[in-house]
Amino acid sequence: MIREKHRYILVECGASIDKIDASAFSDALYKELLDCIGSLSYHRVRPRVVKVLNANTFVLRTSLYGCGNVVAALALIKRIGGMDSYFYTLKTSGTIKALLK
Amino acid sequence: MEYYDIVRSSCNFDEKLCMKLGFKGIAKAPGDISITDAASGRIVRGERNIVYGSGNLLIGAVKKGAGAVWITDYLLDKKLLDVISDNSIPLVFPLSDIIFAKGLQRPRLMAKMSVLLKYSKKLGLGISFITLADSQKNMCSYMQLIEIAKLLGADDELARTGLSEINKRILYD
Repeated sequence: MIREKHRYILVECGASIDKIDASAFSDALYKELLDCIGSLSYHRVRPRVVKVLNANTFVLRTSLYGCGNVVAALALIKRIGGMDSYFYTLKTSGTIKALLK
Repeated sequence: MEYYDIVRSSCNFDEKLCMKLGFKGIAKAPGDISITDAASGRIVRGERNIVYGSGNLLIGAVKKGAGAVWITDYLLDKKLLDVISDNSIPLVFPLSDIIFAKGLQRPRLMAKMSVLLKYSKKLGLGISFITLADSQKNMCSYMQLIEIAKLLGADDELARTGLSEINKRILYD
């Protein structure tokens, strides 16, 4: 069986995740990413918020193919859940362990 | 590799944020480097500056000694690019234009920028990628700039050189 390769992205967010429900935040983020990436590419990117580290930082998992697209798309997102925000991509890695080192 | 960025003087940031975003240095324009309208005609040879404009005005500015050039309408003007190439002046792509664009405006702008980038690459021009952000929330990390540059058609090496060597040359040479 072939295992799919992922990339993990450490992201800092301008909006406080505490103020929005974590799942509502994820849904809002997926919606924004869908807008930027487009529905034809989104299924190959498959972004998922896998870990919320604190009120402003979280880990996003994407497919290896979609990592670049997600990093670029995060720079273009300036609003989430009706709030002004920003997303800084701080680090990318193939494993969560290496990402958080 | 050491990466450099240029932002607007209204953008407030500290050293910690600069390091967090992966930059060795972030310069302010105007401030650390001047940013001049080609139509103003106030171009000083030897001064560190970015001259913006389009068409014949920019050709004049390049001949007067612009440090770097920003073509604001991103139209492919072969005569202008030939003059820029002859004077070995870097061409600046402020990616904040893409970040701020909305709806269909964004893909249209990106299409124009890709055509300009493709021809500039062919001529062997120095290509610089900067954010020119006006506030902290509009700043980007170096990784995000590289990926946006790749969307425009730059390869990994060109994108990284544009953020490191070319930006360093604009800021410190």
